This record gives sequence, structure tokens and C-alpha cells, in this order.
Amino acid sequence: MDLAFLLQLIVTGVTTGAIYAAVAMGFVLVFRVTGILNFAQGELLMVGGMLIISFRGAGWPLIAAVPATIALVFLLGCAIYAFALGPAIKRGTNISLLLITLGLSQIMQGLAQIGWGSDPRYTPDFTPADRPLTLFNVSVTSQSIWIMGGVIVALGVTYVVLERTGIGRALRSSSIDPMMARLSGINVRLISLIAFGAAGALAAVGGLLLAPVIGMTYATGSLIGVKGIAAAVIGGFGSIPGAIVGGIALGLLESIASLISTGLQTGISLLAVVLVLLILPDGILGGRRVKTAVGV
Amino acid sequence: MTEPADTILEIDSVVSGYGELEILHGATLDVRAGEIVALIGSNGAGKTSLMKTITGLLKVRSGDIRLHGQSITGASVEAIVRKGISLVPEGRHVFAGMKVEDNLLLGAYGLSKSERDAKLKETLERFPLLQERAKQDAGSLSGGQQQLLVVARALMRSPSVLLLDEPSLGLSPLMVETVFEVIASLRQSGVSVLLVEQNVVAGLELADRAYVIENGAIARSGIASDLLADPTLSNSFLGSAAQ
Ligand SMILES: Nc1ncnc2c1ncn2[C@@H]1O[C@H](COP(=O)(O)OP(=O)(O)OP(=O)(O)O)[C@@H](O)[C@H]1O
Ligand SMILES: [Mg+2]
Repeated sequence: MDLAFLLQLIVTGVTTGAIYAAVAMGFVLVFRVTGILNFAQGELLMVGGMLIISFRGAGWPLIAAVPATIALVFLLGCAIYAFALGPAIKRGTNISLLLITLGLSQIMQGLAQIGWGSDPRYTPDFTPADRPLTLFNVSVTSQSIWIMGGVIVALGVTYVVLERTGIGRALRSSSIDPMMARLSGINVRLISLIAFGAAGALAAVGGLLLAPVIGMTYATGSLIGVKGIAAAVIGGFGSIPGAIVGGIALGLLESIASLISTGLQTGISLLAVVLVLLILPDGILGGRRVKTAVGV
Repeated sequence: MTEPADTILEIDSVVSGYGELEILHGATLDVRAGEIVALIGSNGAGKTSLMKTITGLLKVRSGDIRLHGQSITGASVEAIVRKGISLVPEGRHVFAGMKVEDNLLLGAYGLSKSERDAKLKETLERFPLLQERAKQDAGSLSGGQQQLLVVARALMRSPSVLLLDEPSLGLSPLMVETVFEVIASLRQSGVSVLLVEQNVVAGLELADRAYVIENGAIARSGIASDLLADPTLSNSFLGSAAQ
């Protein structure tokens, strides 16, 4: 195996991993704030992909299509909380909430199939080039640069919001001690709504960046959702660095697994996740265990 | 019933509890301006439950709670906090994993940025111990420092009433002194205090007035120094702590 080949694998792996990182971050955000494992997270990505394909198909420039997609999926995330999970959270057990998210993912797939059909849908690269950029014999497509750059920006914005703003402090405090957050004057339900919206926005970024690379179908989200969860788990389920490390680790694993068999790519990489967790039960960056219980 | 003009917080025949269980059976008390009021009672008497009911964590089933003469009964926790009641709950509820200064800023959540920053500066100047550790993870503070942080955070909003549930529990004598000094200094800042204190003697010495709660209702009340001197109280209730 020569160096260029290895680098090529890495570029492919990091590109895929960036998408997983965006999904993982949304997953972690929602879980830390609300305690809900949102299995519809992948479908939010799918909707983001479908929307950008439709907007661009209608002739919208990127400068309009990208914010519109992100805003709509943000609202969809909020709606999921406001109309389905929020009302159930007081009475629901963890299992029933999980089932609700599974139900939602099926409903979203069904609606997407009705709205956008069953055939894969395509959209051109954001900046179509005649041939990929070549560096040291490694070819990097323009879209994969968009993907890596876009995810870096999205996670960078997430970082700044979480660390530097009042909303970010409210999000973090609600995930650490919800009762004390309320006693600090924070409306924890509103904060939960925002967490769902933000998770939607992050998934939308993943979906809109990925759309030109694959044929997007109503079912694209379910597998990516699982990968996002896996990435979150590998990363320790706690932080932005964790999501990035987890996402990229999973992307690289897949890229290596594809050498063995493309058909078994997913199976092999998820098996590797299990192995990682056997060695590091809290994930690679998981120093802390998650706590979400309301300690009154 | 007409209340004295300077009454800040009135708890009027309040009934509340957990699920089927009724814990407070019509508790009535009031806190006046600039006053420290001690709430004493044996374990399980309902002190913490009363604190939770005042802040909306427990629902008022009947009766009324008024702040500055206006009913806050049924309002959400966050609304009650924003109206000017801060609670320091039992245990050390710092936001571990967040910086000391971020913890403090959360105490002023919802205020404008300039108000928040001004209050942060003022608070850090008042608590040099926290100033030195402003950028440190709150979880890395000692137990006593954490309790001080929680009290300082509760004051960030300049509340009308501060509710303190066993603030000195598990602290070293020196730290207890620091916390008590802070509480005593609140009289000058015009913050009224309702204090639950395990160390009944120390609590009564600090307080202006006191209520004794038994089985979810107020059994006695009076001037703190009178209760402290009362032999029936010290024998039956204060026990060995009174010696
Ligand atoms: N979450 C809860 N669910 C059901 N019952 C509770 C709950 N919390 C407290 N209780 C009950 O309410 C009663 C009063 O408890 P509370 O915590 O108010 O007492 P307290 O006066 O603060 O006692 P302590 O001095 O031990 O802190 C007790 O009988 C307790 O068992
Ligand atoms: Mg108690």
C-alpha cells in the first residue's frame, strides 16, 4: 500500500466522518439537555438533503438555498419537540420516548417518500469542477472540501454559542442540573426546544453538504442516523471534540473496511465500534458519565 | 387580614405535597423587609418542602403565596425566580463542568448583558475567593467554596428574598463562619432571608425572628432570641445542640 493510497483513504474517511460528526453533535446536544435519544436525527439530515435538492432544482442560488434549508430543518426540529416529545416528556418513560422518536423517523420517511418519490434525487456539486484537485497524487473533490469546511464552520458556530452566549450557558446548565437551571430563571422547556432546533440545523448542514455526493432517497437518513449515534458513542457522548473525534474515527474505519468488502463496510465499522467500547467503555473522549436525572 | 406594610413574602395557609402525599398542611408565615427569618424543625418536618413550594418546584394545592402583596401562586419556577425569590437548595448545586464565572452569570440569566457583567464584577469583588478561581471549573472547588459560589450565584439577581436550605451543612467551622457573615451582611443590602439551619442555635443567633415547623404546619413563632432562651424549646427540640 503506497502513501498516496493511504492518504486517499484518509481523505475519504475524514469527509464521511465530518458528516457523521455533524449528526453526532445534534444527537449529543438533544440527549444531554433532554435525556432523549432521538432516533429521528438521521431523518432530519435526509430532509435537509431533500430540501436543498428541491430549492436548487427550483433555481435558487446556494446563498438562498442553504440558509432556507437550515432554517426549515431547525423549525422541524423544534416542531418535533413542541408537538410530539415535549408533551410526552412529563409522563413518558425513556422507552416510550424512544419509541416516539422511532415512530417519528418512520413517519418522516413515509412523508418524504410521498413528497419526493422513491427514486434517488441528485443535485450538482456546489462548485462543479472539471476534475478534482490533486495534491501529492491524492485527489480531493471540491464537494469534499465543502463538506469538511462546512462542518468545521457549523461545529465552530456551535462551540461559540455553547461557550460564549447566554443561551449556550443555559443549554449547558440544563444538561448538568435541570432543577438548578430552573432555579436560575431558565425556562428548561424552551431550552429543550432550542436544543432540538439546533440538532435539526446541524443535521441539515450534514444533509445539504452530502446531497451532491450521493443519490438522496427517503431512506438515506436511517443508516446515517445510526452512524451518527455510533460516532457520538465512540466520542464519549459529551462534547464537540468528542463528536468530531467519534465522527472521523468512524469515517476512517469505514474507509478502511471498504478495502475488505464494500458490502460489509457498515457491518465491519459498527463491529469496530463495539470493539472500541469494549476497551474504552466511556468512548474515546468520555471522561464523564452522562447524567440527566432531575436531582430534586 | 392586613399585613404590616413592610412584609415582602407571605405564605398563607399553604397546602402542598408529593403525589398522593400531603406534606404541608396549611403553613402560614411571613418574611419582612431586611429581615433574617429562621425556619427550624426536626428532620422530615417539611422545611425543604416549604422552600420547594415557595419557588414553585412543588405545586400549591390550596392557600396563597404573595410576593410584595402580589400572588405568585401557580407561577412557574422560572417566573418566580425572575420576580425576585432565589433558592439555595440542599446540597451543593454548582454547575460542575462549567467555569465559576459562567456559574455566576447563570444566576443573572435573563438580565441584560450590561447588567450581568456589572453584577459579575461586583460579585467577584465581594468574594475574592471566587475571583481567584473565576476561570476554574466549579466542580473543582472544595465543598465550602462550592457552597459560597451557590450563595453568590443566588445573589446575582439581587433577589428580594433569599431562601437558604441548610447552607452550612458539611462545611468546616471556618467556612460556616464565612457563609454566616455573608448572610448577616444581607441585612444591609436589603435582601430578606428565610434560613433553614441544621445548627439551630447558630441559626437562631443569626436570625431576627423564627418559626418552628412541625408535621407540615407552623407550631410556634417569635423573636429569635426569645426562642433561643425558651427552656421548653431547648429541651424538647434543640436537644444537645443547646448546650
Ligand atoms: N420527593 C419526595 N417524594 C415523596 N415524599 C417526600 C419527597 N421529599 C420529601 N418527602 C417527604 O416529605 C416530608 C418532609 O420532607 P422535607 O424534605 O420537607 O423535610 P425537612 O424538614 O427538609 O427535613 P430535613 O431536616 O431532613 O432536611 C418527609 O416525610 C419526606 O419523607
Ligand atoms: Mg430538608
